[in-house]
Amino acid sequence: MSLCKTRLQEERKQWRKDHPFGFYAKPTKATDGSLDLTQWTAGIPGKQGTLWQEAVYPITIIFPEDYPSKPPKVRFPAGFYHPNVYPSGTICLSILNEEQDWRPAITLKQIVLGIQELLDTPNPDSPAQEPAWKAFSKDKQMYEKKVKEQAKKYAIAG
Amino acid sequence: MSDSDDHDEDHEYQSFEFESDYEDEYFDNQSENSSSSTRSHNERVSPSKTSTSFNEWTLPKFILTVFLDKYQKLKDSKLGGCTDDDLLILLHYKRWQADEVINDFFDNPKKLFEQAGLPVPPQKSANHLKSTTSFDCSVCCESYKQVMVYELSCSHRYCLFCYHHYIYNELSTGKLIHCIQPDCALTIPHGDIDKIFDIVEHDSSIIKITKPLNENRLLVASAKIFVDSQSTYKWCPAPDCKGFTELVSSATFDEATLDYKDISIIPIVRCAESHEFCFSCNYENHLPCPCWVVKKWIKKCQDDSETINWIDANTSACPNCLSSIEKNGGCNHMTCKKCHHEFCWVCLGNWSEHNNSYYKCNKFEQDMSEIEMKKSKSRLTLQRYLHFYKRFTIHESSMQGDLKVLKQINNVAVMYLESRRKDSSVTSLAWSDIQFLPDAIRALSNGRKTLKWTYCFAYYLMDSNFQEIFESNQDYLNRTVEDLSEIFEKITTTSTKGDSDIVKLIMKNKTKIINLSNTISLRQKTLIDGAYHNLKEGLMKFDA
Repeated sequence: MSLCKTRLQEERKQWRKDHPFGFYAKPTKATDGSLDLTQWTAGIPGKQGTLWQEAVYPITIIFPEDYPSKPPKVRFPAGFYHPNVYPSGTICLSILNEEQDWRPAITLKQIVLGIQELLDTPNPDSPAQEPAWKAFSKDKQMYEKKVKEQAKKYAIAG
Repeated sequence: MSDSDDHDEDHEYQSFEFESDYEDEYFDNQSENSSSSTRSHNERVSPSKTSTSFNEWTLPKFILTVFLDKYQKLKDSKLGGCTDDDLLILLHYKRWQADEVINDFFDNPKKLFEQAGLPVPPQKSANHLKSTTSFDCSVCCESYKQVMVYELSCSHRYCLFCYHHYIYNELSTGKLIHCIQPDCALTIPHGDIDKIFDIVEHDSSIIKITKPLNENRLLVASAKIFVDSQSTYKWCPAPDCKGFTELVSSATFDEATLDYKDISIIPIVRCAESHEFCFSCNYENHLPCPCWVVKKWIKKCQDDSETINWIDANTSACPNCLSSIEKNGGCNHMTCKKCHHEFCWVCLGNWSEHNNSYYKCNKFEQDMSEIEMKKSKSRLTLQRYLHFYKRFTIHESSMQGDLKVLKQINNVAVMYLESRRKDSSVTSLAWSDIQFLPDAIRALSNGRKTLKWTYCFAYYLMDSNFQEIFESNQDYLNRTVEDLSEIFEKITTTSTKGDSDIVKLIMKNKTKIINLSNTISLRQKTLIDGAYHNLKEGLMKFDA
């Protein structure tokens, strides 16, 4: 079995054994019903006490063939409102960047926790989209309103 | 532009002697490890003295002089508690600024060590490679019964295969490489990188004789990136050549304002393997052509624009299947060979609709002569282009053929001498006796190179009397080059009795070879100098 597959199976095993509260992550099903370990869907809960609370934000994680040498590609839905998320939904996070802080030992748990951390602590030095970045740096009220609207959209049912 | 004021042009034009003073100056800039014997005839062919000076480099030499020289210096200054590995990491971190390392070390050693990813307090260099049993690697998730692992003083362990993968990917950045563990900033020493590669790639746990430090993978990667990022360094464009050249100074060379008539300011440089190339456009030595002519020519050859022009003028596309059709006779009722579509050549309309009013197409008659003229003109330009292009490529391919023959001859001669040397009783041949061979090889290939580019030059040249002079110079050079090439060819084809026979033939032809090599260099210089002079004086012009 390839290095990538072995590692992903282990990641899945570890996740099922133990994962942080409120998160979910699972491989997608291929058209023939088998599990596709290279494509995952996951949910990032907003931290309590922040603008992002009471919602779970969906992401897709795509593992390249040379994972874990290369980082996975992680995306929110296109158009996600956050200063460090590109219009396509791609997340600008140093641990997910091969040229920056990616190391093969970073686990799925560390990735999702890193993204949760990023939600409420955007990095104003690496803007990825105009609307959220402009509002965040110039019009906090507007920013908060938009984030709360988005939280409603992804609110936990019930 | 600057040449007219600093020397007498008439003198320059009449004497085609080697410019020994220029060469002397050049040698002074060169480093010690290129032997001067191979250089003495390695005349830089340039129309006149230019202020182009350069250093030829290879990666190991560059690492030795630029990186490791500082390392030696730092070793001598004895920073307390630092191992050699530490010093190398500190220097790499500080981009090889030894002074900065020393300053920061005495200012705040702890901070410097932390920044560079060295353990605080400093550790005695330990063996980071260990063989272990029943180990689970958390990167590849394999469970090994017995495996080599790597760990720095942080004790984060990963299997050697994962480290090999990881370092392989990280090398492309040329920066220091850290422990795989996220958030661990410890740096992997340079030597360990080579050790890991040697073990994994040779698939054995016995450490082979490690490469010298100036061939260290990380240092090589780092040097490559440095060379790429500096505009004063360029890689030699010759195939498989790993040399690069540093431009120290050149005549004010500004492509935008470049007066295209002065070819003396073209910065022709040489790499460590004696390949001459143009520092400006990164092609091989293309004298006598100015860079802009070279670019135009290359582009032309690449997109075959003449062929397209010809196709455009001489063929029409079948209105049904769009195949190109050339009409070489017969009436205007065309039937496409491919799709059998019938149409009128004159108006490209459908023939069946056309039947009754065929003579309507006569109104095009008057335009026909114009079309014919266009056709013959385009045929002529194509022929002209092909004429020059053919000769250009012929010399290119002959050059490769020459090199093959010459290498063979040189090898034979060297081997023969080697065998004779062992037999000390024979003293008939000395090394110096065949020193003329490498010079002849260089003269021949440089001559061919110049010849090749004269065809590009001639293609763009406007008709004039001076063009004829240029062409006769070209012819002279051509003949000498072919003569020398023929001698070598004959030596390899006529000798039937093996190596000693080849050597005999070489020695028999020695004077001829030396004379022809010198004539080639001379005629090459005459041609380039002539082109330089006539362009400068406006006697020859390019048809832009």
